[in-house]
Amino acid sequence: MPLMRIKGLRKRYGRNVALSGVDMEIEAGRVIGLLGPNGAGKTTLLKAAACLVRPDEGEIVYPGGAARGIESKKRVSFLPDHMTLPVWMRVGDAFRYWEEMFPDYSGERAEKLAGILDLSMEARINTLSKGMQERAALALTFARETPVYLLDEPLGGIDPLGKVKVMESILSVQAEDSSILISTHLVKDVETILDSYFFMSEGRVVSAGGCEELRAERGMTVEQAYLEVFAHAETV
Amino acid sequence: MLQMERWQNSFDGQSPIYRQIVSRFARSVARGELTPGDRVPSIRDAAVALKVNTNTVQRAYQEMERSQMIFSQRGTGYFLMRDEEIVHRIRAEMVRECTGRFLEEMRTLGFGDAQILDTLREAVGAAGTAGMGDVSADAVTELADASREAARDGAVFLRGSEGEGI
Repeated sequence: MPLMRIKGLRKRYGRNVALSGVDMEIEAGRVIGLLGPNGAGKTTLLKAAACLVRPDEGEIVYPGGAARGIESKKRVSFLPDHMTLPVWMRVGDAFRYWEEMFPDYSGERAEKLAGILDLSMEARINTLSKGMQERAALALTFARETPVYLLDEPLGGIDPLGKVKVMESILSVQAEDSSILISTHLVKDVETILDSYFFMSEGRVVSAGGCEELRAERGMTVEQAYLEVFAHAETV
Repeated sequence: MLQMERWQNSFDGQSPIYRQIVSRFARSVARGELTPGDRVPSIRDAAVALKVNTNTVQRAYQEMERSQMIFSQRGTGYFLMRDEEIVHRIRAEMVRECTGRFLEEMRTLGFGDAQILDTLREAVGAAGTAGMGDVSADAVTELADASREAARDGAVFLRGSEGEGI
């Protein structure tokens, strides 16, 4: 039984089609790459999965039934591309705030992640670099215990050391009963931590599969497969 | 001392990563970085150190358990087999792998066996490791024996199990 099933999702903004019929199953215990160029619809898809965007057609189904309102927000922990943390807070305040907001918050997890990501609880958020703010946002996202984690460009604006820390965080929370969906165009950076991938282009999934199968059957890295699929699109 | 961090970033798309991990472990055993009875990092620790998906590492460990390279002890973790024989098996397999690759390449280039042996004698002599360029017939026989021994053992460490899906 998949943790989340996305069925026939369509969404348009005025004349712009953001999603044109997306079907996807998120199996338990996986780290999944949602890969594609800018404007492919990745962010809209994640927002729809997090019930922050109402699709024109289609639905998100969880083991308990279709996603509706506040109930569905308990199913996912979403890291937006730019998470705005209250700048007047200290990092520790943000964690306490999260603890009050979310019943599924785990202090133990928060502590572990703060350790991996080198976060200082005393630091004021407005004094943190962009990269450190991103790390704090990731720690907050993972501090919740939910079946599905949705990360929108978790490596954007992060330096090489930060990237390593982000990968370590992802691998240390990966568990049998939850799944992590990572949207990014930095394929090479996430390649080895993925179980499977979905390539998205122009609002639809154009290719999908398992990463180890790709290496075994086609002798290709995910990045090579990505380039093969998108080489044409990228040059347009 | 096993330094897994050095393995990361070296995985390629030529074969599944789990097989590449098994092969890295085998090399570490052959080099003596991992000795019989040594504890092997937990799946989670290995995944974090290698920056590789936990399921992939688990698959590598299952593979190593099946080929009797490591064993798991409930509650305490994974260990390399205690018997010294594991080192011999892996080394023999590596010899087969290296010589096999060398021979294949040389034959592709059109060299006959006698020429290949001459080349080896010359190279080893030049390196000054075998006395005056004297590679004995015994040494060659030894190589062949190791090669056959590895073949008999199924050559599971470097290639994973052949012909099997993932």
